[in-house]
Amino acid sequence: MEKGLKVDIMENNDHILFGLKGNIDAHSETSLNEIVNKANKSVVKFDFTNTDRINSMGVALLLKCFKQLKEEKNINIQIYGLNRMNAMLFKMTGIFLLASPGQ
Amino acid sequence: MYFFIFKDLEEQRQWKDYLSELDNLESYIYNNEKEFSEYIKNYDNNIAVFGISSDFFLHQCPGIVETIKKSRPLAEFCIFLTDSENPISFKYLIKNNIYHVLIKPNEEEDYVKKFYRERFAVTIKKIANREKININDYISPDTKVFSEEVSNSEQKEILIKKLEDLIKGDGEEVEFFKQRVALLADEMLENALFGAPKTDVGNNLFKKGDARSTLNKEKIIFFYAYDGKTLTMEISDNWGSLLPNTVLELLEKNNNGDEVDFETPGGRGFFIMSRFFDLFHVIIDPGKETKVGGHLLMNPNFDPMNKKGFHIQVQKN
Repeated sequence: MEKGLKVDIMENNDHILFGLKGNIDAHSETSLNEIVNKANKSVVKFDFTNTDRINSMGVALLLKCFKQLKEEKNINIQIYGLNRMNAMLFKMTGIFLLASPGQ
Repeated sequence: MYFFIFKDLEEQRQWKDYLSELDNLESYIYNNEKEFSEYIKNYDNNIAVFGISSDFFLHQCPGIVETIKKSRPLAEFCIFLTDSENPISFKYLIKNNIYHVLIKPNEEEDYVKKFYRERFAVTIKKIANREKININDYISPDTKVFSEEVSNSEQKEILIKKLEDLIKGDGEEVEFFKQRVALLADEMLENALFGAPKTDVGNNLFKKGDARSTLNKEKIIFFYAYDGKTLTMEISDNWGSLLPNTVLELLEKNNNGDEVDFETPGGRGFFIMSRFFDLFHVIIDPGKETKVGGHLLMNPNFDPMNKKGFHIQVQKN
């Protein structure tokens, strides 16, 4: 069984979009660290349309990733494509304090 | 028997139906400390569980548990509140070793109210009789309870797939229910495989994300059952490393979504379990066994932001 998060990257003039595919858990640390390194625009968009399960370790890693983008790189983080389950999870764990749902 | 203390007549009236499944329930409207102390000291019957209104406990009489314990040292305590009341004060629960919380949901559907009411009654009867909470008691009779020994971390996804396959049907609600079940099973298995095993000084033996097999004498068993409406799951490990107040501390740390602790994320798994189960339980036999589990009802109005009740049962030797 294949493990780890797959990340699709799409870049244009004013933002970079990361599409996250698969589960976000303890195996996603490397992928999320790479996102921090690659984020080079003032606006970073995350597309969770193809994201499956996010467990507590995944939440911790996302919080760490978003905190680094926001506080160390002063990046505006926008979130797209959340299903009902993951939207609830983000709300109750405080992820929306760092990233806002995109319009 | 059960002794429930209300702040006033109105509160007693509000809870009457909800507690109707409990036989031998004595209701008491608190007036003053002297009168109460005398009453409880001279009360002849054996009281196994005291229910105390959260609002009354927090704002009128925070010392009531200590008062009761002077004459009833073996009694269990359950704090009760409605979902619309102020948040549970975990600090008071920890200070007073209170391990049972009953929430009356602001839920309009009768079958959901019935679900919560009946399950509370079953659980509190077990606690009163000093019997272990048993997941078989929460599902329809004759429902098969599956059990699988977990011997390595690779089994996690296989078990989650089995759970998802157990839930038949399609549509948004079924899909959401499957996602809840999958997340809860993930957290339970991660906790048993990576949270429970500790060194002699209390550090984690294994790192989350690493592949691991169980040790020689280590035993992890995952139980699950689904009767078409309610899904129940429980996982047992034979470390018994969890302490009841540690569970409360972990829940407290994650309870306020406006104040996220980014640096020390421990316990978020327990917080998720306590909110995504309809009723969450932990059974602790210190140094011998820990069981973590709960029940979920397929309910289109389910919201993890609503408060949830829980039970932490400690086996006393």
